[in-house]
Amino acid sequence: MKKRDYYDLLEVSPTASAMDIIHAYRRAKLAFQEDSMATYSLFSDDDMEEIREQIEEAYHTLADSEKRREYDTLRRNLASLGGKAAEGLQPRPQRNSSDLQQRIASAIRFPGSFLNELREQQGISIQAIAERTRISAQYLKAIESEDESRFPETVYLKGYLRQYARELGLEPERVVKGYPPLMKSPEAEESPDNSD
Amino acid sequence: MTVIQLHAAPKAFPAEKRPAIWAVASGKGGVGKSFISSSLGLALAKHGKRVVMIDLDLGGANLHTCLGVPTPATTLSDFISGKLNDINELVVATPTENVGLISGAADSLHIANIKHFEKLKILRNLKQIAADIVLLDLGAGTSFNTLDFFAQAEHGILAVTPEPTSIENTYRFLRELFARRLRTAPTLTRKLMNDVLTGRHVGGRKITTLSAFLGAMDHLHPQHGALLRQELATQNLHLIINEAMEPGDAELGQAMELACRKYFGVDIGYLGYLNHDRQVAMALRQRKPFMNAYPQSRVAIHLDHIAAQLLERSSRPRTPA
Repeated sequence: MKKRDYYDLLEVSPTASAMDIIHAYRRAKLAFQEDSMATYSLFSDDDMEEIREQIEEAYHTLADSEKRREYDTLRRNLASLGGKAAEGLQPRPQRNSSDLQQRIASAIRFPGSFLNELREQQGISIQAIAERTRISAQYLKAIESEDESRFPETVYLKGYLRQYARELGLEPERVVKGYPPLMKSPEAEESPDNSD
Repeated sequence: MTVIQLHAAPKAFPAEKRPAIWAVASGKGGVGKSFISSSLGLALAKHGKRVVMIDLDLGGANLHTCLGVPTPATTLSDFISGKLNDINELVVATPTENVGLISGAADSLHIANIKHFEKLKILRNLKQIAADIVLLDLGAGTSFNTLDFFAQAEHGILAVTPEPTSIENTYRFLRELFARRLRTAPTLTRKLMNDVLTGRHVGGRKITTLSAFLGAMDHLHPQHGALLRQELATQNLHLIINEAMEPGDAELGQAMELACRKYFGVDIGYLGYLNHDRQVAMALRQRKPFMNAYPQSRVAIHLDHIAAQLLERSSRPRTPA
């Protein structure tokens, strides 16, 4: 496990008094002691051992006013480098994903071909969405090919499109607004609030 | 839940007057759940709330006895069978003012085999009940139906006794509850969850806790991690330690609260403990609600304090965890 913030570990605020820290340490030590009932069936022995070590480490740093000052300075410096750095983690962008995120963020139009591309790039099958939403794969394919003739009423198309968008992690209303077949129909303008 | 469409509220009961749903459950049976929910109901009524209690411990319904109602005239099965159509017609009066009961005492009903549509029928009618608080007394264990009712509650209260079996089953209940909540995530989120769980995550170390999993999601897919945390925080969860005997039992709740935060990464508030008290059994034998029979006992005072805490918490806006 990565290095954790000592204050988080003991569940005290960074402004906690020495007494607060002693109480928090006692509470944590009791909860995670060897024969503690509270952790029964929850943690493995290894996890427990590690948690106990972390608690000791956190306490011995924060209980010593000298060490605590040093730690606070270190913590402030790390925090100013960016929140996550304090946990010793480097953001690890995945291949293509930031590019994809950017395109989604800036997109105004969401044509079927774009939706199809988004879905495939993220490795999600039509079947997976069909199972999840209980919308037949035929309709989902029709959404991607912009085949309006498959939908007797615009409301169905809109409803299905919203669900489809949600499954891809997109904002449903933005997709509905930017979906070409709905952009030209007058119904697309009215009552955007009759969602499910 | 988007699948459930609420019916329009009847005119007599304006929509803004809809009751809050609270639920009491336990991982293990015999930990005093019906005692706790009945007493909590009475305590809430004392604080000026109109309370309707529903006995959903189908198959083992005995809430009516804890409330001092001999044999309820109407039960949930009258509603499920369609004999009565308004859920408010099921409410029977109890000896305590402002406490009503919908009983589940009917031999034909069992929580394990109420059908899906029957469950939905009950669920979507809960909000039609004329009350301030609808308090569900759920059966022990982690059956789908029990979890579904529990998940609907704004406040979910778990009763625990200070013994390893009860604690183990409490954690099992929470695991099942959270797993059920996470299952509703969108397809993309679920796929990323799966990637994270099957090893494509920081450090290559096996993820053994929900909290570590949420941490990895936050790190790798912040948006999706936030979505999951939001889903897990939709409900206020609480613990009550019942039948405390040793001095250390009172601190067990705090320790469990800590352990849950560390393991699940979710806040589960410890409401307090109730001493083991022989007067509880004595009140039952007299067929009197405990809170009325022994209002000055320590247990009654603690229950009253627990009710006040819950009311205080539901009156303030939710702060996300």
